[in-house]
Amino acid sequence: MIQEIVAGFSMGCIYALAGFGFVLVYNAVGAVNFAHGELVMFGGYFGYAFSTHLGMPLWLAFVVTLLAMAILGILFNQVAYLPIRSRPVSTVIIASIGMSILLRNSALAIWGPDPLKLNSFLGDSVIKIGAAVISRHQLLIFAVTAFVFTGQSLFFSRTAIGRKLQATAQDQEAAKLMGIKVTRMINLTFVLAAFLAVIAGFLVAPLWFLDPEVGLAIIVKAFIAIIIGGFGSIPGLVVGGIFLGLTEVLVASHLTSEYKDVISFFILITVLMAMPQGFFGEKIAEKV
Amino acid sequence: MGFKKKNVIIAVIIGGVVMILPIFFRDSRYYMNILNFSGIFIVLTYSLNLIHGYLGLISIGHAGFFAIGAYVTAGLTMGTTLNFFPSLLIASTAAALAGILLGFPATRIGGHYFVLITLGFGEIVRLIILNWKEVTNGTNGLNNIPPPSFGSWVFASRFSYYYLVLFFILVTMLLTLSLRRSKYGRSMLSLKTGELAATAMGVNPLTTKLINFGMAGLFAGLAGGLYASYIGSISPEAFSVDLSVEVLVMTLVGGSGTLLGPIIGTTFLMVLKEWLRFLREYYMILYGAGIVFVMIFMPYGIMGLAKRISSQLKS
Repeated sequence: MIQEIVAGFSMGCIYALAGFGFVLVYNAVGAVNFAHGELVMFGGYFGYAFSTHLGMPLWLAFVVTLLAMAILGILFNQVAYLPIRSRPVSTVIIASIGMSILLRNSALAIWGPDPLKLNSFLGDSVIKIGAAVISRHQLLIFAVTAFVFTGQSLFFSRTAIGRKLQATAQDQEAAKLMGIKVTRMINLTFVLAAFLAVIAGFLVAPLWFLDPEVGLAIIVKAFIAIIIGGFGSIPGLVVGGIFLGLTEVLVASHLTSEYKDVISFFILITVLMAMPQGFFGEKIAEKV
Repeated sequence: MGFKKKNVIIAVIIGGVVMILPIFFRDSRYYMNILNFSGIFIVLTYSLNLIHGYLGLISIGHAGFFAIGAYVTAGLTMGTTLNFFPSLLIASTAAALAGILLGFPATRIGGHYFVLITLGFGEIVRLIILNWKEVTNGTNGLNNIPPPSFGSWVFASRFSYYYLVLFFILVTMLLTLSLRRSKYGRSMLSLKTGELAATAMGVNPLTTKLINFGMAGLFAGLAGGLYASYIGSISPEAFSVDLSVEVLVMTLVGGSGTLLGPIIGTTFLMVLKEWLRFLREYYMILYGAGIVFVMIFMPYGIMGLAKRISSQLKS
């Protein structure tokens, strides 16, 4: 039982981390980026390429991946968001779907369809607590999640650059009048989202393996977490992610493993229909 | 509203070309295949054209309706004594009911929330097909689906199938056209432009949206039934999100909400795919880039581009 709960909890943390980059972009510029899952996947694939093909130690591969993904984030923004940012929401959504097809098939062309494994920072070792076997990688996931989510609240409230980002998110016109370079801030938002994608990618890849479909699989789960928690809410995202992770594990081991994803999608639709604001969704009211 | 003389002449010419087109390709299985698949996808694209073109909503779950149409048609023609046409009718009705079901959330939520609902719907249908092995045969799918027949006439050849598909394209087009000219069609377009204003003017958003989704489900179910009995075997992997996205792209490339857009967009992309087949997996990379390109430079598709060029030529 403890083992199940730990597994569900750690999966939920990954959903929250994967969804965070998506929510960050949504809150900052109102763009819905359906390609964020592919960015998470590329974070993992770059890590694999730098550590396995180029033989870098994992920490160095992580740093180089951050740089590579920062560039990808800026490119993404320049190509698929900035030119159409004043168009209807549906245009932005469809352009991001186009980017997701582009990235997924680029991964297929570069790395092929077979699953690849990225090593964890803590290897495959496990610790035993009573009858439960818990991997060190799961503990790493908890630590990173705690660090990222406390870090972000300090970053946005205490640092100058974080406040500038928040100002841009609230009112681009006013931010521009205050001398904030809005385009630069939007670029920065996409870079931060790409960083979060790298973190999520490095944590999920040792568990799920990397293949060209993994980005879609992870972002779909992240969407469900985001909807449960309330679109745009960061505490809601964490709660929604953990709720989903736990539900999945408990449903799979006690009810049905074949239909566990069907149940997750039912939760998505039910929440959207019954309470579209989710658990923590006050922020949407401001947005609309 | 009457028909303009010029439009009638154009329609007659296009109709004539479409009627005799397969005679040239009759001996080529390959070209007949492209024509027939394009035809089936045109019916499917007309379905999304209703939802996106008339209500402004995006669906990435259309594979769900398509799958319902395909599996119900296949199941009825294989498992019961029912003929093809009644089976197709029941299958399309089932898909229409699923459409109406999906129409209910559409009255309350839009934008990206609705996109996620449709994603959930499509995935639920696919996962059920995949796991309900007793009925759907799971990953192996259904094989040896009989070709459509009408009395003693069997649509066994690709050439005869072309005219069957053409018939259903005409039905879909006529239904779309009569919807466009009816009170409900105008109500839909007014909801798309401004829901609050339209409601204030007496448009009932619930009935209007349910009619739209019911018809969209019907078209997609028809397409699914035609698909299943044409290719003869179906399995869950054909009905993934990729298919839904492909249909969305066909709708947008042609020009959403126009009468000819679905035909142009679907045929263009089907032919392009065959033409660029030598690129293999790189084609899909180009395809993704193409979607972004279309969104940036021609958001109203080929029909929008044509309209812009013709109005510039006039002035």
